[in-house]
Amino acid sequence: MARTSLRLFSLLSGILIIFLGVYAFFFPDVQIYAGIFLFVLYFIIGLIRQHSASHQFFRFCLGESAAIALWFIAPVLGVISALLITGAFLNEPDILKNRNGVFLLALWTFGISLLAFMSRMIQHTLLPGITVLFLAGLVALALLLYEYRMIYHAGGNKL
Amino acid sequence: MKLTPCSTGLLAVFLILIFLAIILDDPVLLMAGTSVGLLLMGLCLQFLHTVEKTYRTISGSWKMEKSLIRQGRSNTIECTISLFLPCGYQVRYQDTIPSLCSLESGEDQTWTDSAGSQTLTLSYRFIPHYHGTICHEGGIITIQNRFFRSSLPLRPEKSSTPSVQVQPWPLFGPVEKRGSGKDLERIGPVKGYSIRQFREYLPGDDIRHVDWKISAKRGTLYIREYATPADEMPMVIVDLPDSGQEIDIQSFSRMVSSISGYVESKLAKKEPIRLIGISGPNMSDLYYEGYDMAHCLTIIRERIHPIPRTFHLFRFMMRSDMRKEIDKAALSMDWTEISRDERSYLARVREIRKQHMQEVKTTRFAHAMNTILMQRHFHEIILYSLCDGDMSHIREVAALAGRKNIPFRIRTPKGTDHRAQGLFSLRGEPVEVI
Repeated sequence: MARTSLRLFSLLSGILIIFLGVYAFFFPDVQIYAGIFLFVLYFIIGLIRQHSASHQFFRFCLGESAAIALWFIAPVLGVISALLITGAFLNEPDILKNRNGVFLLALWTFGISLLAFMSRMIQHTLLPGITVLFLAGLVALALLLYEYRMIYHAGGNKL
Repeated sequence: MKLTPCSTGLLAVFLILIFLAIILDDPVLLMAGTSVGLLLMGLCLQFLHTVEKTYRTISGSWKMEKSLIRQGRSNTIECTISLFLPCGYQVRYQDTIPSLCSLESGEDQTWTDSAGSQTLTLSYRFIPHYHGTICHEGGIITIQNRFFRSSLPLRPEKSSTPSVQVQPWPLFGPVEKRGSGKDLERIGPVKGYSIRQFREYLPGDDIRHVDWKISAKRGTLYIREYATPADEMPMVIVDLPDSGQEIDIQSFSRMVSSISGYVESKLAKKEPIRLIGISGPNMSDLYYEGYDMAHCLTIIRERIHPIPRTFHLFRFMMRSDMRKEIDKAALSMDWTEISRDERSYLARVREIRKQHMQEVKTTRFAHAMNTILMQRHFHEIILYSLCDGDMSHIREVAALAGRKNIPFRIRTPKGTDHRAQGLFSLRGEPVEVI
């Protein structure tokens, strides 16, 4: 199952690279070469079969930078590459093997698509950035409360 | 919940991208950062949901090899945990070694990362270093995936909590044999001492007290035990430490071992004892009188622990000391060579002490101890105490015993520095260091 998923992600990455090459041929831009280079690097590193967490994280960071570079050219390209990279990243620790994991990826895709759509409307980032940080803090607090409730019901608050 | 290096890295990427977006005023970086943040939060939520679901599937059972052991002897705990683990998760269980116990051998933790129904087993031996009833508190189960780690307590059901009773290790000191040997010969039945009971011969008993008639009838040696006219018995007073203060557990444990040793040596010979508990100047409800070994040892095991003190003497000056001070002041005042200031000081001291003695009556503690000592005559009183802090109450007991002509001894596990004794510490009372 894991090997099949790996082949699927490799195939999709290969298709994306070919598509990026064709895109760069018709719409030449400096930034797209950086994106293509990073994405090819991401693909090559993926061929090195190392399943350690640090290796996967490094690969994800590389892929994420490729996605950002492509986002500068076209948000759709950025979203597709980010989806591919994140899918590969989550597939490695078997998160996509259960229904919740797939649902999480679907929800995240919806969220990132919405963000890609919204990014065109944003002129300045100061207020949205602070809002994101504030909301992230609130969500973190809610998650901690959820965990506290779980520990409390488990019968111990000495941990 | 703890973050693993992977999720810490994701968090760092999120923060870096957001701050860069704010500094560079770039919406693409903001959106990329937000997407990473969303991913992290989603993963966290999914992890917590899975942990909650997995925790519901966990059931554990614990079993102890023995239910009654001696302090310092090892016992085995066997633990079986069954659970259903989803893919990509690892579970680790660490059993909590009972408090004041140490691990002797075996493993107190186990783990698995195989998905599906799993059964974890572990077994280890532990050594208790303190007496009482030890209830097993279960352990800590840690569920983790690549991004997060969460620890939850796993406790046994209240009805099926495994427990072990730990009897204190007896510390036998030089045991005095009253009522045997030469004394017994001297005070034989002709002097009005009746036979209290017959018991089986124990090594060390005087062969001259064997009752040959009963021994021949029963086929084993029987010893005559004589009772004094007043049926005297020793009284063991245990000064329980205050649970609100820090105590040296090792010293306290040694004291309990000594009590256990003394009591066992007496009860093995079927000699009755009286055991009472005090905690500073507070009477405890710890009370035993008789020679039932099992019952008395249960009391020692379960009741001799630190208890909260409600009343403190706080360097209470004894009436006898006050009287001495008044007499001393009176004598000094008669002396002509003292100055006028000194004379007025002594007169003031005498006045204050006299007034105090008239107004303040004896303490409740002294009254209660006096009532106990009035009931019957004890051939000796042994007071076990840690001798830390204020010892006014010990001096009260010593004074009362002295008034009744009862030999009084203090046994303490600590080497008390007698040179540093002040007005409110022990003054001349015999102290034996255990």
